[in-house]
Amino acid sequence: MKSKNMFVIAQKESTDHVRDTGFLVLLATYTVIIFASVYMSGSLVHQESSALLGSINVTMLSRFAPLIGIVLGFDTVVREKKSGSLNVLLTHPLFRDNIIAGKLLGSMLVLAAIIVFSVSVSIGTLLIFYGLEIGYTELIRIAVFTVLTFFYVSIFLGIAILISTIVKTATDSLVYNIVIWLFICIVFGAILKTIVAILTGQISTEGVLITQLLNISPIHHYAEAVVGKADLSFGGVGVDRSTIAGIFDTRFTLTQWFNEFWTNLVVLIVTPIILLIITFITFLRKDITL
Amino acid sequence: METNRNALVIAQKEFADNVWSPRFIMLILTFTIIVFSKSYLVGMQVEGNILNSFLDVAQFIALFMPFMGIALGFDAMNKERESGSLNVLLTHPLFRDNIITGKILGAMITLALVVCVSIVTVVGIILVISGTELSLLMLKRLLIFTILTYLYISIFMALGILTSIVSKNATNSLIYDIAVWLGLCVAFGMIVSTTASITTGHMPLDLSDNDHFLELNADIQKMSPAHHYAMTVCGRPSLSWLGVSSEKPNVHGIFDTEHTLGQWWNELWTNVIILLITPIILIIVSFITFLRQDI
Repeated sequence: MKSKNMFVIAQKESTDHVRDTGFLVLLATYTVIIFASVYMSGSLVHQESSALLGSINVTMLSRFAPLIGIVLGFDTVVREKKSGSLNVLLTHPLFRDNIIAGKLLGSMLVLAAIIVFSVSVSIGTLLIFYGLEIGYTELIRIAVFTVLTFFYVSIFLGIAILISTIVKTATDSLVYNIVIWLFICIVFGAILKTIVAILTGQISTEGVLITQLLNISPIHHYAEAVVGKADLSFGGVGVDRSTIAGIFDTRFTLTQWFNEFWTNLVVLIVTPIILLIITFITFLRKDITL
Repeated sequence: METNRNALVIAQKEFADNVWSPRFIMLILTFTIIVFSKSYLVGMQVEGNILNSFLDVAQFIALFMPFMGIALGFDAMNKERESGSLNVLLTHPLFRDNIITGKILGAMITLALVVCVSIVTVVGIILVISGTELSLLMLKRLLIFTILTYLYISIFMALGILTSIVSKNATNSLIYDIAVWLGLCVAFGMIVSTTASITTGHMPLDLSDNDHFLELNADIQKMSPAHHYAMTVCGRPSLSWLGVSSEKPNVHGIFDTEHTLGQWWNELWTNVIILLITPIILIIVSFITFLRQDI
């Protein structure tokens, strides 16, 4: 009975998202960006078709996919609170945790659909314009890649929902989220380099300090697991650290890949869960007045 | 006289609102930190003429500073309308155009503050780190660079104000602005190249026999304000990610000391004019829209 309530809210939440014009506009922009970036990077390697799968533009995906997570999450709680519907909802026989769990579930379902969709756009572009061949091994790797991207973006969904529980208005929430996105996905590498340069006086990107500090950012773990690079942000620390060039490196088996990158995987899975737990606790203890 | 004073009062209120809001303070801190780190790295790597290495910073400004303008403009009008204060305001003896003038003026002044703070940060950091000298000639060019940056960002601010008048609520207005910003500044290069490549049937990076492709590419590029800003500041057709650029002008932007400012003007005056006119047109459109709107 209790879980039925949750599913009703999840259903309402995902329908709201899918019908929202703002969300659709941003989704269209995002799709165009993904398509154009894959088209451009695919044309770089169109001679040798073996490396073609590696030309899914992970850099652009890792920079822009978080925006979808943000736009799905930034007004989840604050919108209901502002319009007063949260108060009305709570007079009905359902618990607070039903509401937040339903909202999370609904947003995550839409997010999963969009991630699958954007991976299909990438693969489809390569298929249509460059004649990529996909075998059984590639399919498994594409599936793993999709799951990784989902976890990575749900970190940002978690952050967005958390912020939407804390702040007073939806626009504030969106602006804060965009700032966090700028920091983590775009300029994290550059800021890190500056901090290390101020502390140690060197611009080298090989130091111990910089590799340790990189562990803070989700984009580092995503980059390691997917392309085997330390960082994907703009002007960041672009060193290849591992022997395996990520998930699309077919010279290694998936087991070898897993042995090399399991720590990154664990971080990618655990971070959204922690964020969701914090959101749960914050929402359950929150005073809901207009 | 009286009406002018009304506009100024509203401008003052808008400026104060902007400067004291926690959102604005956080944004300006963010951008100062980012610009600081970019220019610090540039300052450390620099050899010779400092301002040649300005490209990296200019690219950052071209791609991400528009968000600052959007954040200043996107809720200018619908904030008042949603809270109902616009109705109250209009019962007082002042005209609609006073309100919109005041709003625009206030946002413009705030924007000037932001641009000055960030440019002073950039130049200061580069000077302190690299220890090069700054001549009067360079100062003049820096001043022009500041004005160009201001014009460029005010395009997006005017766009923000326009969407804030047209759209129903502030959230939607912000989302539309973000979509426009991503499309026009950050990803414009790759979108244009892809379009040109598909229409002409020519691979973007195939260098043989690509005149038609490059021509179309350059033509579509002119639609973005980021293109005109990039041309005037560093003499490149595009600063956005993954773009293909061609047709470089002879003068490499405002910091190219091998050419005089006169030569710079002769070569790139069309771009400067576009940067100047676009915000004015957008402001006029928002004026007209606001004056005829049902509140």
